[in-house]
Amino acid sequence: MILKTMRKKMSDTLIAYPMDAQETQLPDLPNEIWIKLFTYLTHGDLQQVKLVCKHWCDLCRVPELKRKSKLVITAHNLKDLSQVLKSSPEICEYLQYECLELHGVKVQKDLLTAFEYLGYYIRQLKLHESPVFCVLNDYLPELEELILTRIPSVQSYVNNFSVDLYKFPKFKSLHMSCAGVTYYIKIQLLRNLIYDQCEHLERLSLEFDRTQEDLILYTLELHADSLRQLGIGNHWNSKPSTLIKWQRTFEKFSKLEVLKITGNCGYNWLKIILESLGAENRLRAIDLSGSFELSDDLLKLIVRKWANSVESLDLMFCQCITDDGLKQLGAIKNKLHHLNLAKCRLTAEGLLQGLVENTNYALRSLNLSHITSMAEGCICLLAQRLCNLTTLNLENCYEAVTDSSLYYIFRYLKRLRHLVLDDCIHITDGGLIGADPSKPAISNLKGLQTLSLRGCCNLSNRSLREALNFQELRKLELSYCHNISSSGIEGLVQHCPALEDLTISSCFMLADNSVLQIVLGLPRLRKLNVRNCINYDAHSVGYEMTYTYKTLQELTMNCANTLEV
Amino acid sequence: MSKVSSKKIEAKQIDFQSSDNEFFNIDVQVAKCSGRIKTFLEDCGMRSGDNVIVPLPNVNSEILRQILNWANYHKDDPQPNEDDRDEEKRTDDISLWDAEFLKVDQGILFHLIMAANYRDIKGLFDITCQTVANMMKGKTSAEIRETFNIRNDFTPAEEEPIGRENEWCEQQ
Repeated sequence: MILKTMRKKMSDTLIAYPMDAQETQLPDLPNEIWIKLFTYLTHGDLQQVKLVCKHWCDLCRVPELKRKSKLVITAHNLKDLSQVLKSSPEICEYLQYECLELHGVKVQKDLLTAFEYLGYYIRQLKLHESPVFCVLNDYLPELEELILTRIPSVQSYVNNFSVDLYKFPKFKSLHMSCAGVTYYIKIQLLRNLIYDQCEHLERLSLEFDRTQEDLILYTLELHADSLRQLGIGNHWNSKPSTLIKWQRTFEKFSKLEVLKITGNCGYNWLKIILESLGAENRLRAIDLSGSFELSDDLLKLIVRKWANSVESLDLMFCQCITDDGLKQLGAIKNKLHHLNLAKCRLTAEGLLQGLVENTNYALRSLNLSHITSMAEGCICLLAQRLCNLTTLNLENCYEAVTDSSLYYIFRYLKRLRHLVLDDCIHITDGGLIGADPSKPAISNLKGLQTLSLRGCCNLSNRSLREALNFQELRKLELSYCHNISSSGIEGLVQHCPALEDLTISSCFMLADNSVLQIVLGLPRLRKLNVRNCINYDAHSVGYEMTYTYKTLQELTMNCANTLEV
Repeated sequence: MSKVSSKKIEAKQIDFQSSDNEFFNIDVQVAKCSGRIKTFLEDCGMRSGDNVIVPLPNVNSEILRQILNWANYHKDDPQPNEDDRDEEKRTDDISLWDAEFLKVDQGILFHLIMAANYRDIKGLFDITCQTVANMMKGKTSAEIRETFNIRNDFTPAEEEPIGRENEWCEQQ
């Protein structure tokens, strides 16, 4: 009886796809399996996958794959875009992305065309040198996030400023924590936040000085019950009279998860913020970069208060922290997955006695750049104990990073995605090429996506031909590696086919034809920086690029200007 | 009631019957690497002495042998961690044994993927997917077509706008 029901159940449900082992053709995988396969690929890979056949091209349009890409409109590609949208509207469907970046774009007819066709889908908008506020209101009904980086302060734009946040019912995130955002725009947006009654503001970041302190405090108070992420750039010591206001404001927060305070804001102010913020705010990321006066006792307060939630800690330039203080991180070793100690005055020995006392499986990302007094042995031990690290920055740790400590990195940190070894001047070809299984080559880091070797001046063409062999590498920085010439480039284009961004500025031995050699050899290249290394006629290069190699978007050459093609 | 449920999965061995009518006698423990078969066995309830034959009408003996080989090697692995978070997917998480195991021709690889997906064998599904994804990484569309023997069904006019997307799109 049981057997019967079993059989029935099985045959009811299990005959879902036909299969014939004799078939030589590949079986048709169900769509969801192809999509699952494609989720392992990057944007660059997917662009190629789309071109394989119609079926795959359609599959790549599912939202989860589209989220790997963003739309980037510049002053140089805008005109083409608006023409394409008007002449072949079917492409419009391909370009419906949720994230849009504008670079150096002004209000113009072509931009309105682009917004008309694509604005409905945009959720995140980043404006870089693009003062286009006056046209945003009517085209972006789904906008959730606005990010301002550099905005020029030309008078005529000021009059055009008007963003009515009530036109964006889903708006919840505003970032303008950049010195490039002018005072006027900042104030206008803050006033909008107050008067438009944006009720669900979850993320806000900004910088301020003394004259804006009251407005900021008022804005924060207004949104204290909805804010989850807050970034404040404070480069002024607050007046003692306002400290009490800050305290009251921070007591009102209850949902904060990310707190970022940058700039040297003084011990007292920092102490008040950290003390008044209730423990019900389960902070998972704390960034206090540039807090010169952050001391061991404040670090202790953080570790004690948020031991159960904090996963990410940025303490760049916190020069009062000592190795002794660092040992306290041992209390959060099972939780912490990102730690930045760049430019601290440490030897990093404190890490080995706390956070990395034994094998640490939690930490994914570690930045120890410019910790010049770190010793070679420290790197070896860290590499052996941090098996899950995906990001490691050792810029300018020139004493500690040698060929022999590199072997430990290449042998034990096999999950690395991003590695920065800038200015580690002792590295040689032999270090990258490796020798035997106990001294593996850098190519042992198979999943590497970005690699920076700027100023590693002992490296030569041999490294490019024999060591740098990465299927997934997207970004490579080799500037000031003086010994590189065409024969190295030949190896590079062969072994790093996925490169999208290459910087080889100040490599004086490169010959004139290297640019073409690179552009022809690397089909996915989008950015190439060869500043200060060749004498090449920018106009002729520009001409060739414009008509032949449309993928390349940015070429930086001898002259200081960036030529976009 | 509790007596019945405690006796449910006492049988130590079961038989799989492949589509070409070959029988495979295996440990229940190994069979349960498939989420689907595990649920099924638990749902139906089995008692020792039951001569349980599970017909698998869409898996032939060659593929089934491979899957059982894999399952047998991995039967003591810890349960895969469901906590994926937002971490980027990797394609270099394949152990040496698995890499050796997956040195098979493409046809078998694809049948393994389908069977692993259908039977809900998570570990096998992940490594087979990674293996196929690795066959596409860093390649041009022409190279990918050649690898998988796919015909280009675009006309040049259809292909052109897709190639042009690159002018306006970048990695997020």
